[in-house]
Amino acid sequence: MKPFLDAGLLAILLLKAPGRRKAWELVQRFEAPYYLTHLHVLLIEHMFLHAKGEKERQAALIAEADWTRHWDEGVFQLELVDALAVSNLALDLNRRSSLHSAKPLHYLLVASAAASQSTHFLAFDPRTRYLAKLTGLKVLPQAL
Amino acid sequence: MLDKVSYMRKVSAREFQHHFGKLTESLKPGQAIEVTKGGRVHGIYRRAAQASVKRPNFLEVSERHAYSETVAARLLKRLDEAFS
Repeated sequence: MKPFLDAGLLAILLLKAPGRRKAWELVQRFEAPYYLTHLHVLLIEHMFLHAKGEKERQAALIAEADWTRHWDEGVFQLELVDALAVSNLALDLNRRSSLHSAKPLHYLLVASAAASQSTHFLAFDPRTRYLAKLTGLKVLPQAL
Repeated sequence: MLDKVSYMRKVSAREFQHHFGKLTESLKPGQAIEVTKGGRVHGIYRRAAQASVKRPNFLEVSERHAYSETVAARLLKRLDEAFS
C-alpha cells in the first residue's frame, strides 16, 4: 500500500489546522516513509513563503521547522516521477473530467499520484478526490 | 529548503568516481544528483529510499505549535491560492 498525500492534506498535517486529527488518523494507516514529489515541495514552500503578516509568518516558520526535520529524519522522501508520464496523465484527465472547478495543478497532483504507482489518494479536497477516482486510485477518507 | 529537498546537484563523472562515498552519503534517501560528462548530463544517481522510518506523531507535534487555528486556516488559504 502506497499513499499519495494531497497537498492540502499534507499542509493540514503540518499545521495546527482544523481537520488535523482526521488527517493524522488517515496517515496512521500507512507506514512511513511518505513519498512526496517536487510538486508537493513547490506547493508547501509556496504556502510558507506567501504567508502574510506577522502571525502567519510566525506560524509558517514553526511549521517549516517541522517540515525540514521530517525530511532530515527520512519521514518524507523525494519521489522522482516521470515528467512525461505525469503530463500525459494530466492531459488525459483534463479531457475526461467534467469537473469545471478543477485547475491544472489539481490534474498534475493526481497525475503524479498515478505516475508514482500510488495505491491510495488521501485528500479532503473534492476536486482532487474526483480526479483520483477517475484514475482508479482508492480515495481516503471514503466520504467527506 | 530547496537545496535540502529537491534541488539536484551536478557533479562531473570524474568527481563522482573519486568521491563516490562522500557524495552519495551526503544524499538523503530518494535524493538524486546529476552526473555530467563533457559538461552534459550523462546520468542520474539516486540514493535508494529508506525502507522503514519511525513515523512521528504529527498531531502531537502540531498541537505544540504556538499559534491559533485561525492563523493556520489563513495559511491554508495561501496554499489554496496556488490552485486558483
